[in-house]
Amino acid sequence: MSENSAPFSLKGLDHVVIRCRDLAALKRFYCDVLGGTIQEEDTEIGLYQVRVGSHIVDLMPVDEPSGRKGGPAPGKNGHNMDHFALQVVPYDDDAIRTYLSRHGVELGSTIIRGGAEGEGPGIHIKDPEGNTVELKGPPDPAYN
Amino acid sequence: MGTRAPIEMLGLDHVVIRCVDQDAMAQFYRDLLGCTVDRHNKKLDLLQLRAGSHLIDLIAVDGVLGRRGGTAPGSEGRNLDHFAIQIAEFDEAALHAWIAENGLEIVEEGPRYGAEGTGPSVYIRDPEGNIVELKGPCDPD
Repeated sequence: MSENSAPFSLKGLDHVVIRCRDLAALKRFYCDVLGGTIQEEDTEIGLYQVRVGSHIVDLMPVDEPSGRKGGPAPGKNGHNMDHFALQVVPYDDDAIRTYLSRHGVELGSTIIRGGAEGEGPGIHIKDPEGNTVELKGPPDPAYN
Repeated sequence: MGTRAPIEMLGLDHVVIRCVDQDAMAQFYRDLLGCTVDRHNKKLDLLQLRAGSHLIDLIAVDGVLGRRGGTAPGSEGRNLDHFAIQIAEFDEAALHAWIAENGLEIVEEGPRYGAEGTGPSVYIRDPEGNIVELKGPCDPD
């Protein structure tokens, strides 16, 4: 392994930028359902920033200037991002499932997998355009 | 909109990239950017790399997890436009030299708005065309 030569050290993730077709539907999902808040909207370049705790999920409509640079809308498959995970508290699987079902969110399985802070439960859900979002609970001492 | 979510979002935990050549991608994120290997689940072809407080996971498109997502991503029509990593030091000259030395290309650069405010950013591509924004500390204002 070559010695890392980067003139910086990594602190962590800052934001992910999702290319989308239906901005209103995604805003409803990330804000009204999950509880994010709109931070900044740049209608000139077509970038809509949703604050999710310490970080940001950016929505980039494919028919606005920035989004157009990336070509057509993503399909159902062949994504470059398989999913991204958000840390959530508290993690009550039943309550989360009940709430999201009521909002018509497509729910996947609950899995125990390693996240940035250790092994803990997470549920995979789909946003309205088929991006998989994992809602990850705090690490569970039982698995660490 | 009726009931409130029974959760509070704290922030990002990880991002999972589907890749064709997992080794080449690992080399980029590990050897070039300085991520460290957190876990390697060979059964799932899942390589979890640590980037500071968070993870960048690489899954092979022909692996157990990767196959569930269909074909490999194309050069267009991607669902992730780019993602950004906070870096602790932003020395523009050193960054430019490092980018040139490693045969990378600057996709764009300049002050950009991020989770902590506005600060300098430089955008590069990983070996499979994913755009990675390296985001320096925000300017105090």
